[in-house]
Amino acid sequence: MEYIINLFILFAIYGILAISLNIVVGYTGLLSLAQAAFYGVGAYATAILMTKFDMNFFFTVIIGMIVCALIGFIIGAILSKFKGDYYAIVSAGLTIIIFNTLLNCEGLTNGPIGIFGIGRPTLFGFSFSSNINFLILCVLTLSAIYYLNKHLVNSSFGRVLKGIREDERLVRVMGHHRKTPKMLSFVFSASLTSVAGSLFASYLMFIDPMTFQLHEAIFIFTIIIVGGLADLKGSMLGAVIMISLPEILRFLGLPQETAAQLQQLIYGLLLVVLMYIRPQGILGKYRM
Amino acid sequence: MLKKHWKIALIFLLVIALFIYNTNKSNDSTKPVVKIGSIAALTGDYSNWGIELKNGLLLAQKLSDKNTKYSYELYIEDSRGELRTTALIANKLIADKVNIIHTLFSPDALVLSEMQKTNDFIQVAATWMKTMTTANPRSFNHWPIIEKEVSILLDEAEKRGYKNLALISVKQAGAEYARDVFIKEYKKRGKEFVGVYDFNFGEKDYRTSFMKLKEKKPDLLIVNSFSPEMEISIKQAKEVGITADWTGLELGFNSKHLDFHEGKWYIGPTKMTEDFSTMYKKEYGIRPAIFAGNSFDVYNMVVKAYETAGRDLPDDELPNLDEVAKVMSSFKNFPSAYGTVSVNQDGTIDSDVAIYEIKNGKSIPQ
Repeated sequence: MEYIINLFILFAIYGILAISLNIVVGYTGLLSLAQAAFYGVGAYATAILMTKFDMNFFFTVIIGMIVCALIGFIIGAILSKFKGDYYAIVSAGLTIIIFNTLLNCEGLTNGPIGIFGIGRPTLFGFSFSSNINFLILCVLTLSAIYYLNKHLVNSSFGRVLKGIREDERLVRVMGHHRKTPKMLSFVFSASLTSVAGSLFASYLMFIDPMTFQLHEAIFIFTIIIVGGLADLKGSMLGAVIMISLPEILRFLGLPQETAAQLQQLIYGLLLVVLMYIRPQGILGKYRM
Repeated sequence: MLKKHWKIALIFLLVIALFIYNTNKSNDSTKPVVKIGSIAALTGDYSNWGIELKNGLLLAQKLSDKNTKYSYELYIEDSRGELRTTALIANKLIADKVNIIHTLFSPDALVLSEMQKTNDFIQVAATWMKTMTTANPRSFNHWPIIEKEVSILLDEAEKRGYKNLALISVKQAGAEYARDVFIKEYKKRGKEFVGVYDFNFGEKDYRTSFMKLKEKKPDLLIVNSFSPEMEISIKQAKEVGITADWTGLELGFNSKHLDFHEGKWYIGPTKMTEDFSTMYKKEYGIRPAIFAGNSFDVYNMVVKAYETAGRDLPDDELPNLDEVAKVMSSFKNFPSAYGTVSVNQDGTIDSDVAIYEIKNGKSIPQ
């Protein structure tokens, strides 16, 4: 049961990451690989503030969101000048910069050794230290983020974002700014991603910079491709598939000598089959 | 469209069916079962180490005495070198009621160390960082004590007449810990490195830093990193005109290109016994590498600890973990793949350290 609870915690955390990224990639049509950077900043904000300043988890989440929004604002302003492949390259650059900062600012982040002893959240005397309570917190957060994003994508601002994705020039002709909505969607996504980082740090109780590298950004990107672009439920479904599939394969009873390699092979094959059958993702409405 | 959805559903149903089939399989042994879990990267960049570890465990299980009071099962899981996977599979192992978890990397050991606070299992790690062993009486670390390795390396450097030592270190958890020990240990001797250069994992160009280092005229580079960065950095040091010799902690184990280091000496865990090496070679067709001996020992120590702790208990009762940990802590001169090992009070499994020289592409103990 504990294992299942832990799986669901990861579904929720990666669901938040995927929903946040889908706003930028699925709805705005921008190829962002910056998600791992904000994920890392959120995680480290919580880890540092909780271990060094004994701050309450929920305050650290807010601070993490503000920091990520500020970084997102600065980087988003630069990124809004780009689109397509260039956007992907510049946003990947941000992930690399943040990773190197986490790795090298040893006084603050403890460098490659990482930070351990991060606590679980408490609120008005109620502790989320047990995994089931922590799962409830994660699910509540995911639900809140889902409904917030649902409201956003159905709003007039959401329609502008979709317009940018389909035809930027047309949006301009209609009298809308192009750069400001692009930047705002990036800032919004960054601050929500930070929440997932905070939850991850508190869940694991230990973090190091190696988790927040480019391959993590690609993994989150894969989640939304598999689940479906421009669909919030698809993001959550993608997270469930990408996290659970390799775990389910552990139970196939393969011979121990080759189990790990065969699991990876089957995992890869299943993803290829999935993409062959549904190239736009399982619930996807938009194809890149 | 419906047809496509059915195909997807079919694939997942098949996988779930296999999942259920395998989780319902029961153990038919009548003896109480001791479950030994292992978390290591069996795929990905560091899978060579993980596979050695797995081979050592499987060999130990194969060769173990079957006439024991308890039955011993292995649960070997692939972490893929990802922390989130480590946490998940640690929880899977805990859910499987695994009694012992063997880990390989420092970050994995630290994650497990946090989990030990709320879960019942003994951890045996193989890491340079001893933070986790001192934190919990149910934690052990089977790796040479880093302070001992560093001290012997510095002694040997002094004996060989090197005066200007420079330290080149990769930013990785274990290596960073070792780097700090180097600086501290050298300072204790009233000396300082002529240069300490840190670089990020995967970095490939060190020339700018080495231009500055050249002015300090080092005569020995202590390279605290792994292949291929280790070889690239040495090659670039030569390119910029640094003529210094080089060595490193466990250089022969951390390098995948031993011929590159021909004639160099280094410090590492003591040589594995001929008996163990022969058994390993017979089973896998190759000489054992470093973690194979480590996991071989862990399996045998766990078996010995359980059999000793449960000696006076009823046949169907397993000893509690504190008793098992207590027995493990008392091991002195335990027969091991490295000769003998003893367990220190802080949970460190103290094995010997040796000086090696690389000759004809092989590490030869001095």
